[in-house]
Amino acid sequence: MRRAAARKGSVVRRCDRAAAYLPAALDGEHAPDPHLARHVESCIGCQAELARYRRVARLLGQLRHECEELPPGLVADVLTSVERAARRRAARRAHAGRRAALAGGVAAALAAAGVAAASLARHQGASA
Amino acid sequence: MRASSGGRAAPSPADRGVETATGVARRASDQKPGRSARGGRPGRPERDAAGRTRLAEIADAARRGDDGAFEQLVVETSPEIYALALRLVGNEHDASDVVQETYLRAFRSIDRFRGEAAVSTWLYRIVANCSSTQLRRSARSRHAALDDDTAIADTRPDRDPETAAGTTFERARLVAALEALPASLRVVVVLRDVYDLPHDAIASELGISRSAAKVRLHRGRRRLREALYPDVPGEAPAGAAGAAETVPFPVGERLTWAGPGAARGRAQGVGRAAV
Repeated sequence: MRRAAARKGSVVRRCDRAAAYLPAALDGEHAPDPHLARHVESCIGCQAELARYRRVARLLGQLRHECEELPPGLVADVLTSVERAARRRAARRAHAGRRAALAGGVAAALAAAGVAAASLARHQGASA
Repeated sequence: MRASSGGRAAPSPADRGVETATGVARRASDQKPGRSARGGRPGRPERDAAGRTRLAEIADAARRGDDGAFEQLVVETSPEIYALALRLVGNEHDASDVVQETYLRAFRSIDRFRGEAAVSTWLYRIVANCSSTQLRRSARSRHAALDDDTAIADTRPDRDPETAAGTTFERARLVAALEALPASLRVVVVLRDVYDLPHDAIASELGISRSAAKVRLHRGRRRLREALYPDVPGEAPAGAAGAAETVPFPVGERLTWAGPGAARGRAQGVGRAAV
């Protein structure tokens, strides 16, 4: 009799320990120790508790496919601000392009000047 | 995304919207979205494989610089993005701000989106990050008590779940309990159990550790379970049942964007809130 009570007590303690683990069990996490895992598997109370958590998770998952009515004008506002961002980006790119072209032009001019100077020097060297 | 990145196939009929995206987007934006799920009715069916592929193709076109395609992406995804934002921040005003900010960030970073993740997952992560910033901002402005544990009250008149048509009692109780959760717990539960984001993604978007995210998730689940089955006492350890567990929303922590772009070390500009 006393042994039965003691066993019952230890089961309750295990249930208490399991309660802390059950919310994690939903993600397939292992119990912190194999004794607890065995307990959860064989305890009707813990199985029922686990089923309740699974039910909560299932109901939560169903919420994903529910949509809310969009506030009027929200999509239009988003599209306007995206359009503005797109224009700014285009302007930035055009500016960068002009700068690149300018830089390229200057480089080409310098190179041409260098070639001209070199050939002039060679020419002068040859005539001297 | 990946499938369509190398040499785009001829556009399917379903895909034609992309080609004339600007016009389509404009027209579609004028339409009222389907009746919301306020009453618990599914607002839209689950996006099937074809729908996901189409979305990936639209995102791919947007990534290659087709701004019209980006508009199409906004029109296609905004109902669910708004629903997520609303669940995270708890009121229409903040949710609208989050949606605005989300799409701006998405637009700026879409050239870094390579389609490793589903388009929706990519957007969810940006929403999570923006919502986190928004919650922190409103926590700061409510500087009264840093009482982030206070549930954000939803004052919309038709919010009473009992009056919503076609609502199951259980679902209504769950939604009410979810909305009553402290923001710090609710955000994690919504992202994980409703939107199925991985632990790591949640932790990085919220700027908390993976283990902190899990602790919040488990506390949130426990509270929801208690709300749904109040008559069945859980074998919960002392303190878990009903006691106020305080997990303050981290006001001071710096948020860093660690989305798909950051993985390649290009986080600049994305974590900045453009208010």
